[in-house]
Amino acid sequence: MTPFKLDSEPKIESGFKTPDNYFENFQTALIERLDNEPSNKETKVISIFRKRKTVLFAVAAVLALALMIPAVYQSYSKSKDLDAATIESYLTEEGHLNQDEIISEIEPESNIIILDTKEIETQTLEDMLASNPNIENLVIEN
Amino acid sequence: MQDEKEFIFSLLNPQTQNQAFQRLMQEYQKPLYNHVRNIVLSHDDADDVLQNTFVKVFQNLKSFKGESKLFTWMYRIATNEALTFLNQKAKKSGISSVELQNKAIDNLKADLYFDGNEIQIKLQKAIATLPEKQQLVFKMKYFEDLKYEEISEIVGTSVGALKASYHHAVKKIEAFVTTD
Repeated sequence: MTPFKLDSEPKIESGFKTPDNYFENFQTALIERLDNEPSNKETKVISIFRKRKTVLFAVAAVLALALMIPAVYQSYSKSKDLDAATIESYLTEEGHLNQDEIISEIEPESNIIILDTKEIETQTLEDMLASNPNIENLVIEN
Repeated sequence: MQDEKEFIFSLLNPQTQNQAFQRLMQEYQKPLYNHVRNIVLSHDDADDVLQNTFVKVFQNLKSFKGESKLFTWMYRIATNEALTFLNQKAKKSGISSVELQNKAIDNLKADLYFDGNEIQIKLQKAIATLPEKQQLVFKMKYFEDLKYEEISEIVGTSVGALKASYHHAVKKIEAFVTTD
Protein backbone atom coordinates (compact mmCIF):
# COMPACT_ATOMS: atom_id res chain seq x y z
CA MET A 1 0.00 0.00 0.00
CA THR A 2 1.39 3.42 -1.03
CA PRO A 3 1.44 5.76 1.93
CA PHE A 4 -0.80 8.81 1.41
CA LYS A 5 1.20 12.06 1.46
CA LEU A 6 -0.87 15.21 1.71
CA ASP A 7 1.83 17.53 0.37
CA SER A 8 2.76 15.39 -2.60
CA GLU A 9 -0.88 15.04 -3.75
CA PRO A 10 -2.63 17.80 -5.70
CA LYS A 11 -4.40 20.05 -3.24
CA ILE A 12 -7.74 18.61 -2.14
CA GLU A 13 -10.41 21.29 -2.22
CA SER A 14 -13.12 21.36 0.40
CA GLY A 15 -15.82 20.80 -2.23
CA PHE A 16 -18.20 23.27 -0.60
CA LYS A 17 -20.47 25.31 -2.86
CA THR A 18 -23.07 27.97 -2.29
CA PRO A 19 -26.47 28.51 -3.96
CA ASP A 20 -26.51 30.87 -6.97
CA ASN A 21 -26.38 34.55 -6.01
CA TYR A 22 -26.00 33.53 -2.37
CA PHE A 23 -23.66 36.37 -1.45
CA GLU A 24 -25.77 39.03 -3.19
CA ASN A 25 -28.89 37.79 -1.38
CA PHE A 26 -26.97 37.40 1.85
CA GLN A 27 -26.28 41.13 2.03
CA THR A 28 -29.94 41.99 1.53
CA ALA A 29 -31.09 39.44 4.11
CA LEU A 30 -28.52 40.62 6.61
CA ILE A 31 -29.39 44.32 6.25
CA GLU A 32 -33.06 43.41 6.72
CA ARG A 33 -32.21 41.42 9.83
CA LEU A 34 -30.07 44.22 11.25
CA ASP A 35 -32.93 46.67 10.74
CA ASN A 36 -35.24 44.37 12.68
CA GLU A 37 -32.81 43.50 15.45
CA PRO A 38 -34.31 44.92 18.68
CA SER A 39 -30.91 46.04 19.91
CA ASN A 40 -30.37 48.17 16.80
CA LYS A 41 -33.66 50.01 17.05
CA GLU A 42 -33.71 53.13 19.12
CA THR A 43 -34.68 51.98 22.54
CA LYS A 44 -37.60 53.82 24.06
CA VAL A 45 -36.79 54.41 27.68
CA ILE A 46 -39.82 54.24 29.87
CA SER A 47 -39.19 55.52 33.34
CA ILE A 48 -40.61 53.18 35.93
CA PHE A 49 -41.12 56.16 38.19
CA ARG A 50 -42.98 58.14 35.51
CA LYS A 51 -45.17 55.22 34.50
CA ARG A 52 -46.26 54.58 38.07
CA LYS A 53 -46.27 58.15 39.22
CA THR A 54 -50.00 58.17 39.96
CA VAL A 55 -49.82 54.87 41.79
CA LEU A 56 -46.82 56.07 43.80
CA PHE A 57 -48.57 59.27 44.77
CA ALA A 58 -51.68 57.35 45.83
CA VAL A 59 -49.61 54.95 47.91
CA ALA A 60 -47.69 57.85 49.48
CA ALA A 61 -50.95 59.64 50.35
CA VAL A 62 -52.46 56.52 51.92
CA LEU A 63 -49.29 55.93 53.92
CA ALA A 64 -49.21 59.52 55.11
CA LEU A 65 -52.84 59.31 56.20
CA ALA A 66 -52.26 55.97 57.90
CA LEU A 67 -49.29 57.40 59.80
CA MET A 68 -51.31 60.42 60.85
CA ILE A 69 -54.21 58.41 62.35
CA PRO A 70 -52.61 57.70 65.77
CA ALA A 71 -51.39 61.29 66.12
CA VAL A 72 -54.78 62.79 65.23
CA TYR A 73 -56.64 60.36 67.46
CA GLN A 74 -54.34 61.08 70.38
CA SER A 75 -54.56 64.84 69.92
CA TYR A 76 -58.36 64.69 69.58
CA SER A 77 -58.91 62.59 72.68
CA LYS A 78 -56.39 64.70 74.62
CA SER A 79 -58.13 67.96 73.71
CA LYS A 80 -61.50 66.43 74.76
CA ASP A 81 -60.07 65.44 78.14
CA LEU A 82 -58.55 68.83 78.55
CA ASP A 83 -61.85 70.55 77.91
CA ALA A 84 -63.66 68.53 80.52
CA ALA A 85 -60.87 68.99 83.04
CA THR A 86 -60.60 72.69 82.35
CA ILE A 87 -64.32 73.22 82.80
CA GLU A 88 -64.35 71.16 85.94
CA SER A 89 -61.45 73.02 87.51
CA TYR A 90 -62.84 76.32 86.31
CA LEU A 91 -66.17 75.67 87.97
CA THR A 92 -64.48 74.51 91.15
CA GLU A 93 -61.95 77.30 91.38
CA GLU A 94 -64.04 80.10 89.98
CA GLY A 95 -67.21 79.12 91.91
CA HIS A 96 -67.41 82.56 93.45
CA LEU A 97 -68.74 84.05 90.22
CA ASN A 98 -71.99 85.76 90.80
CA GLN A 99 -75.06 85.53 88.63
CA ASP A 100 -74.27 88.73 86.71
CA GLU A 101 -70.81 87.49 85.77
CA ILE A 102 -72.18 84.15 84.50
CA ILE A 103 -74.85 85.92 82.42
CA SER A 104 -72.26 88.25 80.91
CA GLU A 105 -70.28 85.21 79.71
CA ILE A 106 -73.23 83.72 77.83
CA GLU A 107 -73.49 84.67 74.18
CA PRO A 108 -76.57 86.71 73.38
CA GLU A 109 -77.51 84.45 70.46
CA SER A 110 -77.39 81.26 72.49
CA ASN A 111 -80.67 79.50 73.16
CA ILE A 112 -80.42 79.79 76.88
CA ILE A 113 -83.35 81.62 78.42
CA ILE A 114 -82.37 83.50 81.43
CA LEU A 115 -84.96 84.55 83.82
CA ASP A 116 -84.21 87.78 85.43
CA THR A 117 -85.05 86.59 88.91
CA LYS A 118 -83.88 89.81 90.43
CA GLU A 119 -86.89 91.61 89.03
CA ILE A 120 -89.46 89.14 90.33
CA GLU A 121 -91.04 90.29 93.54
CA THR A 122 -91.88 87.84 96.28
CA GLN A 123 -95.57 88.63 96.01
CA THR A 124 -95.56 88.01 92.26
CA LEU A 125 -93.81 84.68 92.78
CA GLU A 126 -96.39 83.59 95.33
CA ASP A 127 -99.17 84.59 92.93
CA MET A 128 -97.58 82.57 90.10
CA LEU A 129 -97.31 79.48 92.31
CA ALA A 130 -100.84 79.87 93.58
CA SER A 131 -102.25 80.23 90.05
CA ASN A 132 -100.55 77.08 88.83
CA PRO A 133 -102.55 74.05 90.08
CA ASN A 134 -99.88 71.50 88.98
CA ILE A 135 -97.04 72.99 90.92
CA GLU A 136 -97.69 70.73 93.88
CA ASN A 137 -97.43 67.60 91.78
CA LEU A 138 -94.21 68.83 90.18
CA VAL A 139 -92.64 69.50 93.53
CA ILE A 140 -93.61 66.02 94.84
CA GLU A 141 -92.24 64.30 91.64
CA ASN A 142 -88.89 66.12 91.88
CA MET B 1 -8.76 47.94 2.16
CA GLN B 2 -8.14 51.64 2.80
CA ASP B 3 -6.39 52.70 5.95
CA GLU B 4 -8.01 50.54 8.62
CA LYS B 5 -8.40 53.27 11.22
CA GLU B 6 -10.13 55.48 8.69
CA PHE B 7 -12.39 52.61 7.69
CA ILE B 8 -13.30 51.82 11.30
CA PHE B 9 -14.11 55.50 11.79
CA SER B 10 -16.47 55.38 8.80
CA LEU B 11 -18.10 52.27 10.29
CA LEU B 12 -18.75 54.12 13.55
CA ASN B 13 -19.94 57.33 11.94
CA PRO B 14 -23.77 57.17 11.56
CA GLN B 15 -23.58 59.11 8.28
CA THR B 16 -21.20 56.67 6.58
CA GLN B 17 -22.01 53.54 8.58
CA ASN B 18 -24.35 51.78 6.14
CA GLN B 19 -22.07 52.25 3.16
CA ALA B 20 -19.03 51.18 5.15
CA PHE B 21 -20.78 48.11 6.51
CA GLN B 22 -21.75 47.05 3.00
CA ARG B 23 -18.11 47.33 2.00
CA LEU B 24 -17.15 45.26 5.01
CA MET B 25 -19.58 42.54 3.97
CA GLN B 26 -18.34 42.55 0.38
CA GLU B 27 -14.78 42.23 1.58
CA TYR B 28 -15.26 39.55 4.21
CA GLN B 29 -18.39 37.55 3.49
CA LYS B 30 -16.69 35.01 1.21
CA PRO B 31 -13.61 34.25 3.34
CA LEU B 32 -15.73 34.20 6.50
CA TYR B 33 -18.30 31.94 4.86
CA ASN B 34 -15.54 29.49 3.88
CA HIS B 35 -14.10 29.63 7.38
CA VAL B 36 -17.46 28.95 9.01
CA ARG B 37 -18.48 26.33 6.44
CA ASN B 38 -15.26 24.41 7.07
CA ILE B 39 -16.22 24.22 10.74
CA VAL B 40 -19.96 23.50 10.54
CA LEU B 41 -19.94 21.66 7.14
CA SER B 42 -23.61 22.23 6.21
CA HIS B 43 -24.53 25.24 4.06
CA ASP B 44 -27.66 26.08 6.06
CA ASP B 45 -25.74 26.08 9.31
CA ALA B 46 -22.97 28.16 7.75
CA ASP B 47 -25.56 30.67 6.58
CA ASP B 48 -27.00 30.99 10.12
CA VAL B 49 -23.58 31.34 11.69
CA LEU B 50 -22.39 33.87 9.12
CA GLN B 51 -25.45 36.04 9.75
CA ASN B 52 -24.92 35.83 13.51
CA THR B 53 -21.28 36.74 12.98
CA PHE B 54 -22.06 39.90 11.02
CA VAL B 55 -24.78 40.89 13.48
CA LYS B 56 -22.27 40.54 16.33
CA VAL B 57 -19.66 42.48 14.38
CA PHE B 58 -22.14 45.28 13.74
CA GLN B 59 -23.34 45.39 17.34
CA ASN B 60 -19.83 45.35 18.79
CA LEU B 61 -18.14 47.79 16.44
CA LYS B 62 -18.34 50.49 19.12
CA SER B 63 -16.36 48.34 21.53
CA PHE B 64 -13.73 47.42 18.93
CA LYS B 65 -10.64 49.19 20.21
CA GLY B 66 -8.41 48.50 17.24
CA GLU B 67 -5.96 46.50 19.37
CA SER B 68 -6.08 43.74 16.75
CA LYS B 69 -6.75 43.94 13.02
CA LEU B 70 -10.37 44.08 11.93
CA PHE B 71 -9.78 40.89 9.95
CA THR B 72 -8.47 39.03 13.02
CA TRP B 73 -11.28 40.32 15.21
CA MET B 74 -13.94 39.19 12.72
CA TYR B 75 -12.38 35.75 12.26
CA ARG B 76 -12.31 35.33 16.02
CA ILE B 77 -16.00 36.19 16.28
CA ALA B 78 -16.83 33.83 13.41
CA THR B 79 -14.84 30.98 15.00
CA ASN B 80 -16.53 31.45 18.37
CA GLU B 81 -19.95 31.65 16.75
CA ALA B 82 -19.36 28.46 14.75
CA LEU B 83 -18.06 26.46 17.71
CA THR B 84 -20.85 27.70 19.99
CA PHE B 85 -23.39 26.83 17.30
CA LEU B 86 -22.07 23.26 17.04
CA ASN B 87 -22.03 22.77 20.81
CA GLN B 88 -25.60 24.02 21.12
CA LYS B 89 -26.76 21.86 18.23
CA ALA B 90 -25.15 18.76 19.77
CA LYS B 91 -26.73 19.57 23.12
CA LYS B 92 -30.17 20.00 21.56
CA SER B 93 -29.82 16.71 19.69
CA GLY B 94 -28.57 14.95 22.83
CA ILE B 95 -25.38 13.73 21.14
CA SER B 96 -21.68 14.55 21.48
CA SER B 97 -19.88 17.04 19.23
CA VAL B 98 -17.92 14.17 17.63
CA GLU B 99 -21.14 12.28 16.82
CA LEU B 100 -22.64 15.47 15.40
CA GLN B 101 -19.61 16.01 13.17
CA ASN B 102 -19.67 12.41 11.89
CA LYS B 103 -23.36 12.79 11.14
CA ALA B 104 -22.66 16.02 9.22
CA ILE B 105 -19.97 14.23 7.17
CA ASP B 106 -22.40 11.40 6.35
CA ASN B 107 -24.92 14.01 5.19
CA LEU B 108 -22.40 15.63 2.84
CA LYS B 109 -23.05 13.07 0.08
CA ALA B 110 -26.65 14.21 -0.09
CA ASP B 111 -25.80 17.90 0.32
CA LEU B 112 -26.83 19.97 -2.69
CA TYR B 113 -24.04 22.38 -1.97
CA PHE B 114 -21.23 19.85 -1.72
CA ASP B 115 -19.42 18.93 -4.85
CA GLY B 116 -16.89 16.49 -3.50
CA ASN B 117 -15.66 13.03 -4.32
CA GLU B 118 -14.57 10.08 -2.18
CA ILE B 119 -11.17 11.54 -1.29
CA GLN B 120 -12.75 14.76 -0.08
CA ILE B 121 -15.17 12.86 2.17
CA LYS B 122 -12.29 10.68 3.40
CA LEU B 123 -10.31 13.82 4.21
CA GLN B 124 -13.25 15.21 6.21
CA LYS B 125 -13.49 11.92 8.10
CA ALA B 126 -9.78 12.06 8.85
CA ILE B 127 -10.06 15.66 10.10
CA ALA B 128 -12.93 14.61 12.38
CA THR B 129 -10.56 12.31 14.27
CA LEU B 130 -8.37 15.28 15.35
CA PRO B 131 -8.76 17.30 18.55
CA GLU B 132 -10.82 20.47 18.08
CA LYS B 133 -7.88 22.88 18.01
CA GLN B 134 -5.87 20.76 15.59
CA GLN B 135 -8.89 20.60 13.30
CA LEU B 136 -9.18 24.36 13.39
CA VAL B 137 -5.50 24.92 12.64
CA PHE B 138 -5.49 22.37 9.84
CA LYS B 139 -8.57 23.82 8.14
CA MET B 140 -7.30 27.39 8.38
CA LYS B 141 -3.90 26.46 6.97
CA TYR B 142 -4.84 23.84 4.39
CA PHE B 143 -8.23 24.98 3.04
CA GLU B 144 -8.14 28.72 3.76
CA ASP B 145 -4.45 29.33 3.06
CA LEU B 146 -4.05 31.62 6.06
CA LYS B 147 -0.55 32.46 7.22
CA TYR B 148 0.66 31.12 10.56
CA GLU B 149 0.93 34.70 11.82
CA GLU B 150 -2.72 35.33 10.99
CA ILE B 151 -3.86 32.05 12.57
CA SER B 152 -1.75 32.88 15.60
CA GLU B 153 -3.61 36.18 16.07
CA ILE B 154 -7.00 34.53 15.61
CA VAL B 155 -6.58 31.56 17.93
CA GLY B 156 -4.13 33.20 20.32
CA THR B 157 -1.43 30.53 20.02
CA SER B 158 2.23 31.04 19.16
CA VAL B 159 3.39 30.44 15.61
CA GLY B 160 5.74 27.66 16.79
CA ALA B 161 2.92 25.81 18.52
CA LEU B 162 0.73 26.19 15.44
CA LYS B 163 3.41 24.73 13.19
CA ALA B 164 3.75 21.75 15.51
CA SER B 165 0.00 21.37 15.67
CA TYR B 166 -0.33 21.44 11.88
CA HIS B 167 2.49 18.95 11.49
CA HIS B 168 0.78 16.51 13.90
CA ALA B 169 -2.52 16.99 12.15
CA VAL B 170 -1.02 16.19 8.74
CA LYS B 171 0.65 13.04 10.08
CA LYS B 172 -2.60 11.79 11.63
CA ILE B 173 -4.59 12.52 8.48
CA GLU B 174 -2.06 10.75 6.26
CA ALA B 175 -2.11 7.73 8.53
CA PHE B 176 -5.92 7.69 8.58
CA VAL B 177 -6.24 7.95 4.77
CA THR B 178 -3.53 5.32 4.19
CA THR B 179 -5.14 2.73 6.47
CA ASP B 180 -8.81 3.52 5.76
